Amino acid sequence: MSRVKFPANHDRFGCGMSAYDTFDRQLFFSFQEKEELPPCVEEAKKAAFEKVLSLAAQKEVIDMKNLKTTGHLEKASKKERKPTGLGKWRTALSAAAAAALFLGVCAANPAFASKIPLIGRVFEAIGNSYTYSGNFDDYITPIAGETDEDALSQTVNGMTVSLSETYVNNGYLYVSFVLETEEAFPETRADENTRPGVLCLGFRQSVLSADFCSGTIMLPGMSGIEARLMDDHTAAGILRVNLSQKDRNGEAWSDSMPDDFSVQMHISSIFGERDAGSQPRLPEDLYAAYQDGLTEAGISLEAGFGGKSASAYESLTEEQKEIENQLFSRMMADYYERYSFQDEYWSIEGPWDFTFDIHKNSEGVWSTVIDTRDILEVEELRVTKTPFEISVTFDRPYEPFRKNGIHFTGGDYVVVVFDEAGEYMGVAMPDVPIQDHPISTVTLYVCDWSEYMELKGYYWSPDYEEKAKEKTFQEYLAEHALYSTELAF
Amino acid sequence: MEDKIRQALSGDANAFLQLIDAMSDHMYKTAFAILKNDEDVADAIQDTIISCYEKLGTLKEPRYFGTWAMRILINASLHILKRRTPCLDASDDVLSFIPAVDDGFSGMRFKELLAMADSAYHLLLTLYYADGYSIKEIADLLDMNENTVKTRLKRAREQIRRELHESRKVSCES
Repeated sequence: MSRVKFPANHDRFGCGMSAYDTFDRQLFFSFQEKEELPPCVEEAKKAAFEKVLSLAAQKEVIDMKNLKTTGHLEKASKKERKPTGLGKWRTALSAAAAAALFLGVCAANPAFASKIPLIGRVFEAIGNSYTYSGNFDDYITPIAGETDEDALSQTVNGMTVSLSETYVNNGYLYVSFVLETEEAFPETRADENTRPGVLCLGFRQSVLSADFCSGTIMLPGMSGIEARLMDDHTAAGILRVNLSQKDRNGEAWSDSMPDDFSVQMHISSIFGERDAGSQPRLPEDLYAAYQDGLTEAGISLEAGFGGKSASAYESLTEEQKEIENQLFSRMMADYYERYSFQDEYWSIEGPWDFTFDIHKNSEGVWSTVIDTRDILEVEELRVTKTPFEISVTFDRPYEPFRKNGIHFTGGDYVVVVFDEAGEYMGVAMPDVPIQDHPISTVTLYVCDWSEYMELKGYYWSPDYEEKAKEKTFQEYLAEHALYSTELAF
Repeated sequence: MEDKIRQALSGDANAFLQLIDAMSDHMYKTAFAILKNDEDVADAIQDTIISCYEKLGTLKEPRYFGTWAMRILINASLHILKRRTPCLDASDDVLSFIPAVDDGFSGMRFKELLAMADSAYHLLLTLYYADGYSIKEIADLLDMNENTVKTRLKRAREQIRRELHESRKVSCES
C-alpha cells in the first residue's frame, strides 16, 4: 500500500542504528521490490474477488427486499459498519443472540429436529433460506455410490461427513451434505451480514475429479457452501460448484460433460471461523481502565453494552477521537496480550474421500449465445437458464488493467438482470438465483463496470420508492446501459 | 486512500477490491514469510479477502484498514501453519515454527534475503521492510513486546549482513 515510506532521520531500531544506515536502506528497497504473484495465488485472488462481488450483489438483493417490505433501507445496520468503538462486542452479543434464536427455532420446529434423519432431505430442511432456493424435489436424486452405503458417510477425527443428495445441470453441481460431531459442533460464526444464518465454514485443499477428464476442480473454501446449524451436533449444507470454471488443465467440465459419470470428492480438512462470542470476554479491569481514561480526559460517551453509541462518538472533536482511539487501542492491545493469538478458526483434519455417480439433468435448461462483437469489447455473451439460476458468461479480460488511473482486476462489464415484472434480480456474477421471480422473459443490461458502480446508487438510495414513481431502476439502466436484450424462455 | 476505505465501509465492494488489490504484493510477501509455500499462501489470501469483506463491520477506524487486514491475514496464515505443525500449541512462540525458505524459491530477491535470516525472523523482516510497519505496529500486530521486536529485528539484520558478507567473500575467492 502507499503507506510504505522509508522513515528517514530517526532511530528505527531504538538501539543506536541510524536510519541513514546504507545497509538498512538496501534491505528496505530489496524487500520493496514488487513480486509477480504466482499463478495459483493470482487464481485464488480472482476467485475471492468474484465471491466478494457475488456477496455484494446478494446483499443488494437483501437490502432491496428490506426496502420493498419496510419502505426504508436498514440504515442502522449500515451505521454499525462505521467506527463504533466497542462495536465488536456488541456484534458478538447480537451474533450469539441470533444463534440462540436460531437454535430455539430449530428446537421448536420439527422440520429441523435432529431426530428426523436429514440424509435424503437436506434441500427440504434448508428450504427457502437457500440462496438458490426453488423446487429441488423435482430435480435432486439421492446420492448413489459405487460401493456400500457406508462409503457415503465417513467419520474421521470425530467429524462424520455424509453426502445426501445431488443435482447437476449443464453448468452447476449441487451436493448436499450433513456434518455431525461427537462433541458439540464447533462454535462457528454465522454470516449475519450477507447471508443470514449461513455458517462461515468451508473445505480446505479439497478437490473434485471426474472419470471423464483428468483435471481437478478445487472445491470452494468458504465461498460456495451454505451450511446451517441444525442442532448442537449437526450442520447441514449444500455445496455448489460452477462447472464452467477452468480446471487445473485449463478445461471447463461443462464443455465435455457426459450424461452419466462418476465423481471423486476429496475433502482434506473442514474449517470454520469461530463465533466472536467464543472469544474470551473483555476483562472488566481493562474496560474499567478505558472508562477511567475517558473520564480523565473529560470525554463522555453513552455506555451501552460495552461501549459508546455511534452518535455520541461522532459528536466528539477530532482531538477527543484521537484520545479515545489511543485508549481503545491500548485496551485491545492489552486484551490481545492476555489472550495471545486467539485462533480465529477451527479445523478438523480429514481426509474424507467419496466416490459417487452423477446423472446430468438437462430438464429446464435453456441456452443461447448472443453475438456482441460489434457492440461490446467481448465477442459473445453466453446465457444459460436452469431451473435455479440464470448465468451470463463472457471472456473477461482477466488480466489486470488500468482505467482512469485506477488499477482493476476483473471484468470491465457487469450484466444486470431484471425479471418479467421489471424487478431487479441481481448482477450475474456469473449467475443470479431465480428464486420466486417470474421469468417467462428477462431483460439483460450490460453496463460499463465502473459506471455501474455509480448507477447502482440510484436503486440503493433511501428515496428510491419516490424516484421509481418517475423512473424505475430498469428504466434508469436502460438509459445508461451499453447493451440490452430481452430473452423469452 | 481513506476515502476509498470509507467507500468500502459503506458497502462499495469495488472500492474494497481496489484496496485489496493494492495490498496484494504485501499480502503475498507476508503470507509467504510465514508459510513458504505458494499453494498455502493462495489459500490464506483467498480466505483473508472473503473474511475481510465479511468482517468490514468490525473495522473501527478506516485508517487502520491495512493493519486490520494484515492481522486477519497473519491469523489465517498461522492457522494453516498450525495445521501443518501439529506439535504447535497456543503457548508456543509461533514465529519460531515458521519453516525455512525452500531452495526452490531462491530466484526471488526478497526470498533470497529471507533465506539469510533465521526463519523465526521472516515475518518480522517482511512486516518491517516490505510492508513498512513501525516497531510499535508490529508489536501490536503480533502481540509482542516492542523491545522483543527491536531485538529480533536487530538480530535478523545482523544475520543477513553476516550472510551477505560471507557470500561476497565466497564469490570473490572463487
